Amino acid sequence: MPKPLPQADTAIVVRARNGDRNAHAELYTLYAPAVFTLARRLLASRALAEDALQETFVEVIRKIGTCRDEAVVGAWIKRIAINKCLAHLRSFWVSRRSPDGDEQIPFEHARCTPADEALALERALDTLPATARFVVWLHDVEGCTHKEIGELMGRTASFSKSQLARAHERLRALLEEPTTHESHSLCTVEPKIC
Amino acid sequence: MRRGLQALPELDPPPGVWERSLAAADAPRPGPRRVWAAIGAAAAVTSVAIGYLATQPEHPVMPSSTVIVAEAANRPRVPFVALLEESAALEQLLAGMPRRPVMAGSTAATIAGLEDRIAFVDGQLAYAASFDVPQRQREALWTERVDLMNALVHVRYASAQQFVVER
Repeated sequence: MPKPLPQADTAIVVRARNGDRNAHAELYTLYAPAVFTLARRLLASRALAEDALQETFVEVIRKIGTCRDEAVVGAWIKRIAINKCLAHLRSFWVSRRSPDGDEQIPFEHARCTPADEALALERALDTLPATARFVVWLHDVEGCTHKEIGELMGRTASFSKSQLARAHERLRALLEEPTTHESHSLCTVEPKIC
Repeated sequence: MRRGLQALPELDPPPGVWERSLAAADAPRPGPRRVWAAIGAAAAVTSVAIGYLATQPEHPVMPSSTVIVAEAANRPRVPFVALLEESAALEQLLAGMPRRPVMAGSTAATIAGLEDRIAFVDGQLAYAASFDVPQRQREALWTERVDLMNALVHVRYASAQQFVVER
C-alpha cells in the first residue's frame, strides 16, 4: 500500500488558486518532502532531485488554477513531479552528466540492524539502471499499474512488467549476497542519509 | 521487496528550494513562440538540420500552458508503437556513437540546437502524458522526436566521418 499523501485543507487550495503566495508556501511545506523523496528515489541523485523539486513547484505555482478538485491536489502535484523526473530521464543532458561525487557510495553487503537493511536497500535501488528504478518505484511504492507506467514512459505494459521482474531479481541478488570480512563498515560508521 | 521499498524513510528537502521556485515562477517569461514552420521543417527532411536550426530562436522555451501540435503535413501515419520503438532504437544508436572531442563551432551549435529541441519536445511529451492530450497530438510529438533524433544521428555521423578523414 503506497504511503498516503497529506491532505491539504480546502481553504489553502482555494487561496492558492487565487494567487495567495502564503498558500503556495503552505502547499510546499506540506508536499515538498514527498516530492523530494520521490525524485531522489527515481533519479538516484540529490542534485537532480533538487532540480526536479524546484521545477515541480514552479509548475504548481503557475498552474494551481487548473487543479479543480481540492481533494486530489496532492496526487496532482505528485503527477507533475513524476513527469519532471521522466523529463530528466529522457534528457540527453542527464545521459551525459557524470554522477555526483558524493553519491558514489560503494555498495556494502553487511547488514546489522533494520536501519542498515534500509540503507542497503536504498543503495541497491540506486545501482539499478534508471528505467528499471523508475518502474520498480512507480509500481511498488506509488501504486501505478503497468499500463500507466507504460504510458508515462512511452512504452508498453509488457515492457513495464519485464523491467519490474528484472529489477526485483537484481535487488534480490544485491541484498542476498553473503557478507564479507571487508564489508563490515555499515555496522560501525554513521550511515549517510541523503 | 515491496514492503521494504515502501518502508524507506521520507527525506527532508534541502533548504532554499522554495525561495528559488518562487523566484523562477515570478520571473518574466517570453511570450508564445511561432513554432509551426519550424516543426514542419524539422519533420520534412532530416538532412536539412542546419537549415532548420537557423530558423529557430536561440533559446526555445516551452509554453507554459499549451501543447504544440506538430501535425506534419503529407506524411504517412506510423503506428504509435512503431514510433516508440524507433525512438528507443535511435536513442541506443546515439548512445553507442563516439563523441568527437573537437569539432567545428557550427557543427557543435547544430548538435546543441537539436538536443535542446529534443529536450523541449520531451517536456511536451511529459505534459501530454499527464494531461490526457489526444492520441493524434501525442503521435505528432513522437513523430517530431523521431525526426529530430534522425537529424542528430546524421549530423553526429557526418561529424565523425569528417574526423576520420582529417586524421
